[in-house]
Amino acid sequence: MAEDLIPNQIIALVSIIVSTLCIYGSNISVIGGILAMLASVLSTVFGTNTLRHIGEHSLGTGIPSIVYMLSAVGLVSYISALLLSLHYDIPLIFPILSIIFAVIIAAITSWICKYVFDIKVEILTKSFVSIAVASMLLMISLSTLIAQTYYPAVIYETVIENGIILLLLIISVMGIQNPYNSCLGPNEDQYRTLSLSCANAFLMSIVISIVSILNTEYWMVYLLISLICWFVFFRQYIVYTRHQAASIKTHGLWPTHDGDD
Amino acid sequence: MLFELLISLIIGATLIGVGVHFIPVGGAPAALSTSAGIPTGAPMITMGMGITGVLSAAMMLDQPYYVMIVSGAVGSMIMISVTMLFSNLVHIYGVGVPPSSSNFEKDPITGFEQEDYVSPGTKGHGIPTISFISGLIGSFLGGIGGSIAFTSIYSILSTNLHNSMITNGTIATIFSLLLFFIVAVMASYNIRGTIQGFHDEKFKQKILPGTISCLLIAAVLSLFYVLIIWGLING
Repeated sequence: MAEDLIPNQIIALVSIIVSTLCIYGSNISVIGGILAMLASVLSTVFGTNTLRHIGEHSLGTGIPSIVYMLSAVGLVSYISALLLSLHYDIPLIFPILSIIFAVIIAAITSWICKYVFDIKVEILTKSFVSIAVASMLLMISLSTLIAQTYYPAVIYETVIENGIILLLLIISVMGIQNPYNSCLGPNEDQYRTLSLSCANAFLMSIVISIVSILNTEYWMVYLLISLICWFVFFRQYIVYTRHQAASIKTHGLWPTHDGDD
Repeated sequence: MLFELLISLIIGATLIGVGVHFIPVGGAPAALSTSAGIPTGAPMITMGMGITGVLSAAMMLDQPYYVMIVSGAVGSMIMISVTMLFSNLVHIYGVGVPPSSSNFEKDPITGFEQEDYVSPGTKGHGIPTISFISGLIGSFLGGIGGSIAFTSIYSILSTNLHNSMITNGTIATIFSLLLFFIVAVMASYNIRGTIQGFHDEKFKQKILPGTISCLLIAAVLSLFYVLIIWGLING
Protein backbone atom coordinates (compact mmCIF):
# COMPACT_ATOMS: atom_id res chain seq x y z
CA MET A 1 0.00 0.00 0.00
CA ALA A 2 1.29 3.45 -0.84
CA GLU A 3 1.97 6.06 1.83
CA ASP A 4 -1.07 7.88 3.16
CA LEU A 5 -1.29 11.38 1.75
CA ILE A 6 -3.83 12.56 4.34
CA PRO A 7 -3.11 11.24 7.87
CA ASN A 8 -5.88 9.31 9.63
CA GLN A 9 -5.93 11.59 12.70
CA ILE A 10 -6.80 14.69 10.65
CA ILE A 11 -9.62 12.87 8.83
CA ALA A 12 -10.97 11.56 12.15
CA LEU A 13 -10.87 14.93 13.91
CA VAL A 14 -12.34 16.92 11.02
CA SER A 15 -15.11 14.44 10.25
CA ILE A 16 -16.26 13.94 13.86
CA ILE A 17 -16.37 17.66 14.68
CA VAL A 18 -17.76 18.91 11.37
CA SER A 19 -20.35 16.11 11.13
CA THR A 20 -21.63 16.82 14.65
CA LEU A 21 -21.87 20.55 13.91
CA CYS A 22 -23.65 19.83 10.62
CA ILE A 23 -26.15 17.59 12.42
CA TYR A 24 -26.83 20.42 14.87
CA GLY A 25 -27.30 22.77 11.90
CA SER A 26 -29.86 20.55 10.17
CA ASN A 27 -32.77 22.58 11.58
CA ILE A 28 -32.21 25.40 9.08
CA SER A 29 -34.59 25.08 6.13
CA VAL A 30 -33.09 24.10 2.71
CA ILE A 31 -29.46 24.52 3.92
CA GLY A 32 -30.05 21.88 6.64
CA GLY A 33 -30.40 19.05 4.13
CA ILE A 34 -27.19 20.09 2.34
CA LEU A 35 -25.38 20.16 5.70
CA ALA A 36 -26.71 16.65 6.44
CA MET A 37 -25.34 15.48 3.07
CA LEU A 38 -21.94 16.99 3.93
CA ALA A 39 -21.98 15.14 7.28
CA SER A 40 -22.80 11.86 5.56
CA VAL A 41 -19.91 12.28 3.09
CA LEU A 42 -17.41 13.10 5.86
CA SER A 43 -18.45 10.16 8.04
CA THR A 44 -18.31 7.73 5.10
CA VAL A 45 -14.77 8.89 4.32
CA PHE A 46 -13.82 8.50 7.99
CA GLY A 47 -15.21 4.95 8.15
CA THR A 48 -13.54 3.84 4.93
CA ASN A 49 -10.19 5.34 5.89
CA THR A 50 -10.24 3.47 9.23
CA LEU A 51 -11.24 0.27 7.45
CA ARG A 52 -8.18 0.62 5.20
CA HIS A 53 -5.95 0.28 8.25
CA ILE A 54 -7.78 -2.53 10.13
CA GLY A 55 -8.44 -4.42 6.87
CA GLU A 56 -4.73 -5.26 6.47
CA HIS A 57 -4.86 -7.43 9.61
CA SER A 58 -6.56 -10.82 9.58
CA LEU A 59 -9.36 -11.05 12.13
CA GLY A 60 -10.50 -14.54 11.18
CA THR A 61 -13.40 -13.57 8.93
CA GLY A 62 -14.13 -11.22 6.04
CA ILE A 63 -13.95 -7.44 5.97
CA PRO A 64 -17.71 -6.75 5.54
CA SER A 65 -18.50 -8.49 8.84
CA ILE A 66 -16.57 -5.87 10.87
CA VAL A 67 -18.71 -3.11 9.40
CA TYR A 68 -21.89 -5.16 9.84
CA MET A 69 -21.23 -5.66 13.55
CA LEU A 70 -20.08 -2.11 14.30
CA SER A 71 -22.96 -0.53 12.36
CA ALA A 72 -25.34 -2.59 14.49
CA VAL A 73 -23.47 -1.34 17.58
CA GLY A 74 -23.83 2.21 16.27
CA LEU A 75 -27.55 1.73 15.67
CA VAL A 76 -28.12 0.39 19.21
CA SER A 77 -26.35 3.43 20.70
CA TYR A 78 -28.21 5.77 18.32
CA ILE A 79 -31.63 4.45 19.38
CA SER A 80 -30.81 4.36 23.10
CA ALA A 81 -29.49 7.96 23.04
CA LEU A 82 -32.54 9.06 21.04
CA LEU A 83 -34.98 7.56 23.53
CA LEU A 84 -33.08 8.90 26.56
CA SER A 85 -33.07 12.45 25.18
CA LEU A 86 -36.73 12.00 24.28
CA HIS A 87 -37.52 10.94 27.84
CA TYR A 88 -35.68 13.82 29.52
CA ASP A 89 -36.81 16.24 26.78
CA ILE A 90 -33.31 17.63 26.01
CA PRO A 91 -32.87 17.32 22.21
CA LEU A 92 -29.46 19.00 22.37
CA ILE A 93 -27.69 16.02 24.02
CA PHE A 94 -28.83 13.43 21.43
CA PRO A 95 -25.82 13.43 19.01
CA ILE A 96 -23.23 13.77 21.79
CA LEU A 97 -24.83 11.04 23.91
CA SER A 98 -24.96 8.63 20.96
CA ILE A 99 -21.24 9.18 20.29
CA ILE A 100 -20.52 8.38 23.97
CA PHE A 101 -22.68 5.21 23.90
CA ALA A 102 -21.10 4.04 20.62
CA VAL A 103 -17.60 4.47 22.12
CA ILE A 104 -18.59 2.47 25.24
CA ILE A 105 -20.18 -0.50 23.41
CA ALA A 106 -17.47 -0.68 20.71
CA ALA A 107 -14.72 -0.55 23.35
CA ILE A 108 -16.32 -3.42 25.34
CA THR A 109 -16.67 -5.45 22.10
CA SER A 110 -13.01 -4.93 21.22
CA TRP A 111 -11.89 -5.87 24.75
CA ILE A 112 -13.80 -9.15 24.48
CA CYS A 113 -12.07 -9.78 21.12
CA LYS A 114 -8.70 -8.95 22.66
CA TYR A 115 -8.84 -10.83 25.95
CA VAL A 116 -11.25 -13.75 25.36
CA PHE A 117 -10.46 -14.58 21.71
CA ASP A 118 -6.81 -13.55 21.94
CA ILE A 119 -6.77 -11.47 18.72
CA LYS A 120 -3.41 -9.70 18.74
CA VAL A 121 -3.95 -6.52 16.72
CA GLU A 122 -2.69 -3.28 18.26
CA ILE A 123 -5.09 -0.86 16.58
CA LEU A 124 -8.16 -3.03 17.30
CA THR A 125 -9.82 -0.86 19.98
CA LYS A 126 -9.12 2.39 18.14
CA SER A 127 -10.44 1.06 14.84
CA PHE A 128 -13.55 -0.53 16.34
CA VAL A 129 -14.45 2.71 18.13
CA SER A 130 -13.77 4.78 14.97
CA ILE A 131 -15.89 2.59 12.68
CA ALA A 132 -18.77 2.47 15.20
CA VAL A 133 -18.74 6.27 15.58
CA ALA A 134 -18.45 6.80 11.81
CA SER A 135 -21.35 4.50 10.94
CA MET A 136 -23.45 6.00 13.73
CA LEU A 137 -22.82 9.56 12.47
CA LEU A 138 -23.63 8.38 8.94
CA MET A 139 -26.98 6.93 10.05
CA ILE A 140 -27.85 10.06 12.08
CA SER A 141 -27.03 12.36 9.17
CA LEU A 142 -29.11 10.31 6.73
CA SER A 143 -31.99 10.34 9.24
CA THR A 144 -31.72 14.13 9.59
CA LEU A 145 -31.84 14.39 5.79
CA ILE A 146 -35.14 12.48 5.87
CA ALA A 147 -36.60 14.22 8.93
CA GLN A 148 -35.18 17.72 8.13
CA THR A 149 -34.34 18.19 11.82
CA TYR A 150 -32.35 16.50 14.57
CA TYR A 151 -35.21 16.62 17.10
CA PRO A 152 -35.63 13.07 18.50
CA ALA A 153 -39.44 13.15 18.50
CA VAL A 154 -39.57 13.85 14.74
CA ILE A 155 -36.84 11.32 13.94
CA TYR A 156 -38.65 8.64 15.98
CA GLU A 157 -41.87 9.26 14.08
CA THR A 158 -40.47 9.53 10.54
CA VAL A 159 -37.52 7.10 10.58
CA ILE A 160 -37.73 4.49 13.33
CA GLU A 161 -41.42 3.74 13.77
CA ASN A 162 -41.95 2.81 10.11
CA GLY A 163 -38.79 0.72 9.77
CA ILE A 164 -36.81 2.97 7.35
CA ILE A 165 -33.93 2.70 9.85
CA LEU A 166 -33.19 -0.85 8.60
CA LEU A 167 -32.73 0.53 5.07
CA LEU A 168 -30.33 3.11 6.50
CA LEU A 169 -28.38 0.37 8.34
CA ILE A 170 -27.88 -1.82 5.25
CA ILE A 171 -27.15 1.17 2.99
CA SER A 172 -24.50 2.57 5.36
CA VAL A 173 -22.81 -0.83 5.72
CA MET A 174 -22.57 -1.04 1.94
CA GLY A 175 -21.37 2.55 1.63
CA ILE A 176 -18.53 2.12 4.10
CA GLN A 177 -17.26 -1.35 3.18
CA ASN A 178 -17.69 -1.30 -0.59
CA PRO A 179 -14.85 1.16 -1.47
CA TYR A 180 -12.15 -0.73 0.42
CA ASN A 181 -13.42 -4.15 -0.66
CA SER A 182 -13.41 -3.15 -4.33
CA CYS A 183 -10.06 -1.33 -4.28
CA LEU A 184 -8.00 -3.62 -2.05
CA GLY A 185 -4.81 -5.08 -3.41
CA PRO A 186 -1.07 -4.47 -3.44
CA ASN A 187 -1.26 -0.99 -4.97
CA GLU A 188 -4.35 0.24 -3.11
CA ASP A 189 -4.19 4.03 -2.96
CA GLN A 190 -5.80 6.45 -0.52
CA TYR A 191 -7.05 8.97 -3.10
CA ARG A 192 -8.64 6.27 -5.26
CA THR A 193 -10.43 4.54 -2.36
CA LEU A 194 -11.65 7.77 -0.76
CA SER A 195 -12.92 9.22 -4.05
CA LEU A 196 -14.99 6.05 -4.48
CA SER A 197 -16.30 6.41 -0.94
CA CYS A 198 -17.36 10.03 -1.63
CA ALA A 199 -19.14 8.80 -4.76
CA ASN A 200 -20.87 6.11 -2.67
CA ALA A 201 -21.99 8.67 -0.09
CA PHE A 202 -23.64 10.77 -2.80
CA LEU A 203 -25.18 7.62 -4.31
CA MET A 204 -26.76 7.06 -0.87
CA SER A 205 -28.05 10.63 -0.75
CA ILE A 206 -29.70 10.15 -4.16
CA VAL A 207 -31.83 7.37 -2.64
CA ILE A 208 -32.41 9.16 0.66
CA SER A 209 -33.40 12.46 -0.98
CA ILE A 210 -36.10 10.54 -2.86
CA VAL A 211 -37.24 9.04 0.48
CA SER A 212 -37.36 12.57 1.98
CA ILE A 213 -40.20 13.44 -0.43
CA LEU A 214 -42.52 12.69 2.53
CA ASN A 215 -41.27 15.58 4.67
CA THR A 216 -39.96 18.36 2.45
CA GLU A 217 -40.80 20.07 -0.83
CA TYR A 218 -37.12 20.83 -1.55
CA TRP A 219 -36.23 17.18 -2.25
CA MET A 220 -35.62 18.08 -5.91
CA VAL A 221 -32.75 20.39 -4.83
CA TYR A 222 -31.10 17.62 -2.81
CA LEU A 223 -31.58 15.11 -5.61
CA LEU A 224 -29.98 17.47 -8.14
CA ILE A 225 -27.01 18.30 -5.88
CA SER A 226 -26.31 14.66 -5.08
CA LEU A 227 -26.59 13.60 -8.72
CA ILE A 228 -24.08 16.27 -9.82
CA CYS A 229 -21.65 15.52 -6.97
CA TRP A 230 -21.91 11.76 -7.59
CA PHE A 231 -21.00 12.32 -11.24
CA VAL A 232 -18.01 14.53 -10.32
CA PHE A 233 -16.58 12.10 -7.75
CA PHE A 234 -17.16 9.00 -9.83
CA ARG A 235 -15.36 10.67 -12.75
CA GLN A 236 -12.50 11.50 -10.41
CA TYR A 237 -12.41 7.85 -9.32
CA ILE A 238 -12.15 6.71 -12.94
CA VAL A 239 -9.31 9.23 -13.51
CA TYR A 240 -7.36 7.83 -10.54
CA THR A 241 -8.01 4.25 -11.68
CA ARG A 242 -6.73 4.98 -15.18
CA HIS A 243 -3.69 6.72 -13.73
CA GLN A 244 -2.80 3.65 -11.66
CA ALA A 245 -3.54 1.28 -14.51
CA ALA A 246 -1.05 3.24 -16.62
CA SER A 247 1.56 2.97 -13.87
CA ILE A 248 1.05 -0.82 -13.80
CA LYS A 249 1.35 -0.99 -17.58
CA THR A 250 4.72 0.77 -17.54
CA HIS A 251 6.17 -0.80 -14.38
CA GLY A 252 4.79 -4.38 -14.50
CA LEU A 253 1.84 -6.10 -12.86
CA TRP A 254 2.94 -6.45 -9.21
CA PRO A 255 5.11 -3.96 -7.30
CA THR A 256 8.41 -5.56 -6.25
CA HIS A 257 8.09 -4.24 -2.69
CA ASP A 258 5.59 -2.26 -0.62
CA GLY A 259 5.19 1.39 -1.53
CA ASP A 260 6.64 1.01 -5.02
CA ASP A 261 4.48 2.97 -7.46
CA MET B 1 -41.05 -6.81 34.22
CA LEU B 2 -37.86 -5.24 32.86
CA PHE B 3 -35.84 -7.82 34.80
CA GLU B 4 -37.64 -10.64 32.99
CA LEU B 5 -36.84 -8.92 29.69
CA LEU B 6 -33.15 -8.70 30.69
CA ILE B 7 -33.00 -12.42 31.54
CA SER B 8 -34.79 -13.54 28.38
CA LEU B 9 -32.60 -11.30 26.17
CA ILE B 10 -29.44 -12.74 27.74
CA ILE B 11 -30.73 -16.32 27.24
CA GLY B 12 -31.74 -15.57 23.65
CA ALA B 13 -28.43 -13.94 22.67
CA THR B 14 -26.38 -16.71 24.27
CA LEU B 15 -28.43 -19.35 22.41
CA ILE B 16 -27.72 -17.50 19.13
CA GLY B 17 -23.99 -17.45 19.90
CA VAL B 18 -23.89 -21.17 20.79
CA GLY B 19 -25.97 -22.05 17.72
CA VAL B 20 -23.49 -20.37 15.36
CA HIS B 21 -20.76 -22.77 16.53
CA PHE B 22 -22.83 -25.82 15.42
CA ILE B 23 -23.26 -24.68 11.80
CA PRO B 24 -20.71 -26.21 9.38
CA VAL B 25 -18.99 -23.18 7.82
CA GLY B 26 -16.60 -23.60 4.91
CA GLY B 27 -15.91 -20.03 3.87
CA ALA B 28 -14.24 -19.19 0.57
CA PRO B 29 -12.29 -22.53 0.35
CA ALA B 30 -15.59 -24.44 0.34
CA ALA B 31 -16.72 -22.44 -2.69
CA LEU B 32 -13.66 -23.85 -4.52
CA SER B 33 -14.47 -27.39 -3.21
CA THR B 34 -11.23 -27.52 -1.20
CA SER B 35 -12.88 -27.58 2.23
CA ALA B 36 -16.09 -29.07 3.65
CA GLY B 37 -19.00 -26.92 4.85
CA ILE B 38 -21.43 -24.28 3.60
CA PRO B 39 -19.59 -22.18 0.97
CA THR B 40 -19.87 -18.75 2.62
CA GLY B 41 -18.62 -16.94 5.72
CA ALA B 42 -20.14 -17.51 9.16
CA PRO B 43 -21.60 -13.97 9.55
CA MET B 44 -23.48 -14.10 6.25
CA ILE B 45 -25.09 -17.51 6.79
CA THR B 46 -26.08 -16.58 10.36
CA MET B 47 -27.62 -13.29 9.29
CA GLY B 48 -29.66 -15.14 6.67
CA MET B 49 -30.73 -17.62 9.33
CA GLY B 50 -31.60 -14.83 11.77
CA ILE B 51 -33.63 -12.82 9.29
CA THR B 52 -35.63 -15.90 8.20
CA GLY B 53 -36.23 -16.94 11.81
CA VAL B 54 -37.35 -13.53 13.04
CA LEU B 55 -39.60 -12.99 10.01
CA SER B 56 -41.27 -16.38 10.42
CA ALA B 57 -41.77 -15.58 14.12
CA ALA B 58 -43.30 -12.23 13.11
CA MET B 59 -45.77 -14.01 10.82
CA MET B 60 -47.40 -15.57 13.91
CA LEU B 61 -47.97 -12.26 15.75
CA ASP B 62 -51.58 -13.00 16.78
CA GLN B 63 -50.83 -16.55 18.00
CA PRO B 64 -49.73 -17.59 21.55
CA TYR B 65 -46.07 -16.95 22.40
CA TYR B 66 -44.89 -20.58 22.25
CA VAL B 67 -46.18 -20.82 18.66
CA MET B 68 -44.12 -17.73 17.74
CA ILE B 69 -40.97 -19.24 19.27
CA VAL B 70 -41.41 -22.62 17.56
CA SER B 71 -42.24 -20.90 14.25
CA GLY B 72 -38.98 -18.93 14.41
CA ALA B 73 -36.97 -22.09 15.09
CA VAL B 74 -38.62 -23.98 12.21
CA GLY B 75 -38.07 -21.05 9.83
CA SER B 76 -34.35 -20.97 10.61
CA MET B 77 -34.07 -24.76 10.25
CA ILE B 78 -35.79 -24.71 6.85
CA MET B 79 -33.48 -21.95 5.61
CA ILE B 80 -30.28 -23.71 6.70
CA SER B 81 -31.36 -27.15 5.49
CA VAL B 82 -32.37 -25.84 2.05
CA THR B 83 -29.00 -24.07 1.79
CA MET B 84 -27.08 -27.21 2.74
CA LEU B 85 -29.17 -29.47 0.45
CA PHE B 86 -28.60 -27.31 -2.62
CA SER B 87 -24.92 -26.82 -1.77
CA ASN B 88 -24.61 -30.61 -1.67
CA LEU B 89 -26.54 -30.99 -4.94
CA VAL B 90 -24.16 -28.58 -6.68
CA HIS B 91 -21.13 -30.34 -5.23
CA ILE B 92 -22.27 -33.88 -6.06
CA TYR B 93 -23.88 -33.43 -9.50
CA GLY B 94 -22.11 -30.25 -10.65
CA VAL B 95 -18.53 -30.49 -9.40
CA GLY B 96 -18.58 -34.29 -9.08
CA VAL B 97 -17.13 -34.82 -5.60
CA PRO B 98 -18.51 -36.93 -2.73
CA PRO B 99 -19.35 -35.09 0.55
CA SER B 100 -16.53 -35.83 2.98
CA SER B 101 -14.26 -34.07 5.45
CA SER B 102 -10.75 -34.73 6.73
CA ASN B 103 -11.49 -33.05 10.09
CA PHE B 104 -12.76 -36.37 11.52
CA GLU B 105 -11.89 -39.97 10.64
CA LYS B 106 -15.29 -41.68 10.55
CA ASP B 107 -18.83 -40.43 10.12
CA PRO B 108 -20.67 -41.88 13.16
CA ILE B 109 -24.04 -42.06 11.36
CA THR B 110 -23.17 -43.54 7.96
CA GLY B 111 -19.98 -45.25 9.18
CA PHE B 112 -17.96 -44.24 6.10
CA GLU B 113 -14.20 -43.82 6.49
CA GLN B 114 -13.63 -40.21 5.38
CA GLU B 115 -10.01 -40.70 4.29
CA ASP B 116 -11.00 -42.74 1.21
CA TYR B 117 -13.26 -40.04 -0.24
CA VAL B 118 -11.22 -36.87 0.38
CA SER B 119 -9.39 -35.68 -2.76
CA PRO B 120 -5.61 -35.32 -2.24
CA GLY B 121 -4.56 -31.77 -1.42
CA THR B 122 -7.98 -30.72 -0.09
CA LYS B 123 -9.60 -30.75 3.34
CA GLY B 124 -12.83 -32.28 2.08
CA HIS B 125 -15.82 -31.13 0.05
CA GLY B 126 -19.59 -30.94 0.37
CA ILE B 127 -21.45 -31.41 3.67
CA PRO B 128 -21.22 -34.90 5.26
CA THR B 129 -24.24 -36.36 7.12
CA ILE B 130 -23.00 -35.58 10.64
CA SER B 131 -22.28 -31.94 9.68
CA PHE B 132 -25.74 -31.69 8.12
CA ILE B 133 -27.34 -32.80 11.41
CA SER B 134 -25.08 -30.43 13.35
CA GLY B 135 -26.23 -27.59 11.12
CA LEU B 136 -29.87 -28.48 11.86
CA ILE B 137 -29.17 -28.39 15.64
CA GLY B 138 -27.36 -25.06 15.31
CA SER B 139 -30.15 -23.42 13.33
CA PHE B 140 -32.70 -24.75 15.85
CA LEU B 141 -30.78 -23.12 18.74
CA GLY B 142 -30.21 -19.89 16.81
CA GLY B 143 -33.83 -19.68 15.69
CA ILE B 144 -35.10 -20.30 19.23
CA GLY B 145 -32.72 -17.62 20.59
CA GLY B 146 -33.77 -15.04 18.01
CA SER B 147 -37.48 -15.67 18.47
CA ILE B 148 -37.17 -15.60 22.30
CA ALA B 149 -35.65 -12.12 21.99
CA PHE B 150 -38.34 -11.10 19.47
CA THR B 151 -41.21 -12.47 21.55
CA SER B 152 -40.03 -10.92 24.83
CA ILE B 153 -39.60 -7.46 23.26
CA TYR B 154 -42.92 -7.73 21.42
CA SER B 155 -44.88 -8.85 24.49
CA ILE B 156 -43.51 -6.05 26.69
CA LEU B 157 -44.28 -3.48 23.97
CA SER B 158 -47.80 -4.76 23.30
CA THR B 159 -48.79 -4.71 26.98
CA ASN B 160 -47.37 -1.23 27.70
CA LEU B 161 -47.78 0.82 24.52
CA HIS B 162 -50.93 1.74 22.63
CA ASN B 163 -49.33 1.34 19.19
CA SER B 164 -50.76 -0.79 16.41
CA MET B 165 -49.63 -4.42 16.12
CA ILE B 166 -47.58 -3.60 12.99
CA THR B 167 -45.60 -0.83 14.75
CA ASN B 168 -44.78 -3.02 17.74
CA GLY B 169 -43.79 -5.86 15.44
CA THR B 170 -41.53 -3.54 13.39
CA ILE B 171 -39.69 -2.25 16.46
CA ALA B 172 -39.28 -5.76 17.91
CA THR B 173 -37.99 -7.06 14.54
CA ILE B 174 -35.40 -4.26 14.28
CA PHE B 175 -34.06 -4.92 17.78
CA SER B 176 -33.87 -8.70 17.47
CA LEU B 177 -32.11 -8.42 14.08
CA LEU B 178 -29.50 -6.08 15.60
CA LEU B 179 -28.89 -8.72 18.30
CA PHE B 180 -28.25 -11.29 15.53
CA PHE B 181 -25.88 -8.95 13.66
CA ILE B 182 -23.64 -8.36 16.69
CA VAL B 183 -23.63 -11.81 18.36
CA ALA B 184 -23.17 -13.76 15.11
CA VAL B 185 -20.08 -11.77 14.10
CA MET B 186 -18.59 -12.14 17.60
CA ALA B 187 -19.10 -15.92 17.39
CA SER B 188 -17.47 -16.06 13.97
CA TYR B 189 -14.44 -14.12 15.27
CA ASN B 190 -14.13 -16.96 17.78
CA ILE B 191 -14.42 -19.69 15.10
CA ARG B 192 -11.78 -18.09 12.81
CA GLY B 193 -12.19 -19.81 9.48
CA THR B 194 -13.86 -23.19 9.02
CA ILE B 195 -15.60 -25.61 11.40
CA GLN B 196 -17.44 -28.89 10.67
CA GLY B 197 -20.06 -29.18 13.41
CA PHE B 198 -20.01 -30.78 16.85
CA HIS B 199 -18.09 -33.90 15.76
CA ASP B 200 -15.05 -31.72 14.89
CA GLU B 201 -12.07 -31.46 17.27
CA LYS B 202 -12.08 -27.68 16.81
CA PHE B 203 -15.59 -27.47 18.26
CA LYS B 204 -14.44 -28.80 21.64
CA GLN B 205 -11.69 -26.14 21.83
CA LYS B 206 -13.88 -23.27 20.69
CA ILE B 207 -17.24 -23.79 22.43
CA LEU B 208 -16.20 -22.66 25.93
CA PRO B 209 -14.64 -19.25 25.09
CA GLY B 210 -17.44 -18.78 22.56
CA THR B 211 -20.14 -19.28 25.19
CA ILE B 212 -18.38 -17.01 27.73
CA SER B 213 -17.90 -14.19 25.22
CA CYS B 214 -21.47 -14.44 23.92
CA LEU B 215 -22.72 -14.28 27.52
CA LEU B 216 -20.61 -11.15 28.15
CA ILE B 217 -21.66 -9.30 25.00
CA ALA B 218 -25.27 -10.41 25.55
CA ALA B 219 -25.21 -8.93 29.08
CA VAL B 220 -23.86 -5.58 27.82
CA LEU B 221 -26.33 -5.39 24.93
CA SER B 222 -29.26 -6.44 27.12
CA LEU B 223 -28.53 -3.57 29.53
CA PHE B 224 -28.73 -1.11 26.62
CA TYR B 225 -31.89 -2.84 25.34
CA VAL B 226 -33.54 -2.49 28.75
CA LEU B 227 -32.61 1.21 28.64
CA ILE B 228 -34.22 1.48 25.19
CA ILE B 229 -37.42 -0.34 26.20
CA TRP B 230 -37.65 1.72 29.41
CA GLY B 231 -37.32 4.89 27.31
CA LEU B 232 -39.99 3.63 24.88
CA ILE B 233 -42.46 2.86 27.67
CA ASN B 234 -41.90 6.04 29.69
CA GLY B 235 -41.09 8.38 26.80
